[in-house]
Amino acid sequence: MKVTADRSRCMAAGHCAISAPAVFDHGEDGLVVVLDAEPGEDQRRAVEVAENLCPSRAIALLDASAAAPAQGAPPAG
Amino acid sequence: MNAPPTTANEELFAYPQDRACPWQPSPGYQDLGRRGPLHRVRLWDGRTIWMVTGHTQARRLLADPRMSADRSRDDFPAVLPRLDAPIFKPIAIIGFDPPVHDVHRRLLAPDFSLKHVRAVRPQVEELARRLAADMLRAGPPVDLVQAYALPIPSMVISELLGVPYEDHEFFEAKTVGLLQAKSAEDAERAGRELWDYLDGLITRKEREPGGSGVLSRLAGQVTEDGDLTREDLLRIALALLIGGHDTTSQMIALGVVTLLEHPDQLAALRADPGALPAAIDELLRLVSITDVSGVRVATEDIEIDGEVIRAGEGVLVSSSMTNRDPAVFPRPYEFDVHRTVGDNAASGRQHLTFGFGIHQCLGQNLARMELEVAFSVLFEEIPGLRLGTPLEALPTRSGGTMQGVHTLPVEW
Amino acid sequence: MWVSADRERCISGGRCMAATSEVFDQDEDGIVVVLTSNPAPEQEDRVRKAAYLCPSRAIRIGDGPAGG
Repeated sequence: MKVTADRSRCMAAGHCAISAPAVFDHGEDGLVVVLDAEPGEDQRRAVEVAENLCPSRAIALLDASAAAPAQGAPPAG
Repeated sequence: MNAPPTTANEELFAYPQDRACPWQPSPGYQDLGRRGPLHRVRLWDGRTIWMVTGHTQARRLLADPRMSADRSRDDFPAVLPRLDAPIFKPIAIIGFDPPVHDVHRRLLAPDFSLKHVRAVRPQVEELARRLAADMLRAGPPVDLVQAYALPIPSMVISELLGVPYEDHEFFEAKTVGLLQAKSAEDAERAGRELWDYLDGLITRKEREPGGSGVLSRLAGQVTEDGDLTREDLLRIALALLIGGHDTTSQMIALGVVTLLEHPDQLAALRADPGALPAAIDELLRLVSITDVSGVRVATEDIEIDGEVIRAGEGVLVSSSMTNRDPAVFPRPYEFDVHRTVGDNAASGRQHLTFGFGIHQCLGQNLARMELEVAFSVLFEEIPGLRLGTPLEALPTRSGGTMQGVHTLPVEW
Repeated sequence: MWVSADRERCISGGRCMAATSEVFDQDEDGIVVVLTSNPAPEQEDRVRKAAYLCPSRAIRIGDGPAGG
């Protein structure tokens, strides 16, 4: 599992740091910081919650077998 | 203004409609919600807009870059008469699109971050205890709005911005004047008084640099042709001042009413203080204090669920109804403080009370913290708290979108 | 001094009553009621404060006996 966070989309809502504190934090500017870009499977649920809650779609969970999602693709809803 | 065609005998729903129960959506919205996720409704000026009651549809639309929040656009819908006032066009942050929105939001992000909120929590607890002690000293009955619910967010936002709390009676009253105005003219009058006040305040901060608070910090970053002009700063000051205390104070008030009217839930919360953060989000979901998650105008045609939202059409997302989408919230009308117990720590945050997309409330984590402190301290210090007026006799706000009570008499 | 209130403009902000319940009250709809249009001299400061704070500028005051 790989995790990415797009700081250019981040609006400092903070849900990622609450749902997956082992994976996400925020910097002094309030924007997301990825603590662990390849977390263990025990973090999957937490990262899924973070990805779902992020209001600006800055968080992406990538499985090893999947292609990276296109930037700017319409949200999955 | 492209009003969708209506059939001759189709009577459109008149928006908004008042609530019957302070913590539930208006009966009219509930009827709409039963019929589907998207509806056409008619506004005060005869304009027809879309109203969204489905959670999935709401998230999709609020995150869609083809939906503009730019309130200076001629086709942006004014959902209430007061919103026609020039002072709202555009209100900072919430009324701007990228790129300006993103720049201004990022200037403010540090002061509203999780870490900053945690750092100021002890001061908020001290404040809440002091206010509760003052209430106990004064003895019942007391108006909880003036004695507790309003001072907490008012002092917090004053401190954060660097607005003198001594002026609170003035800015609180004028904020009510702006947000509860029945006409654009009245809103503009109240808004101008706040604007002039903030103009004078910012001038003083420019003359005495190094002061505390966001406004002093930003005053030092003003440039006439860059990212932050002086007018930008004034607009931001106004938006944060009014956004920072009215909704939170009314959420405290209606949250107390909801808890008192659900004693089993209040007892469950007292027995399990660790459940408080999730319970706060459940209260936010239920009460949906602003009733609206967001208002937008489509800049291109957007297809959704077999409908087409045409370019130029207005869209309003109902927080009170999307927060009751049964596909997302089983038993949606039930107040259940343990709704997400056993789930992820952030699972309670699925509601749309703070909106969605890039405009999701900048102050949401500050608001959550204030609510946690306000409820926990109040029920700890005044365990026998009860309403001083029957529920049906509470003077609730009417005619608008932002919910609340004019006064909240309490006893103990 | 004289005082009057525009009930159409009132939005139930309640600041007038909080400033002085001797001069201002609210009816059961929360709309302002002026109890006396010529307040006693010792009430004048509070009446001025009520007019200043009124969220919708519904309170009008002036010098002399009742008018406006």
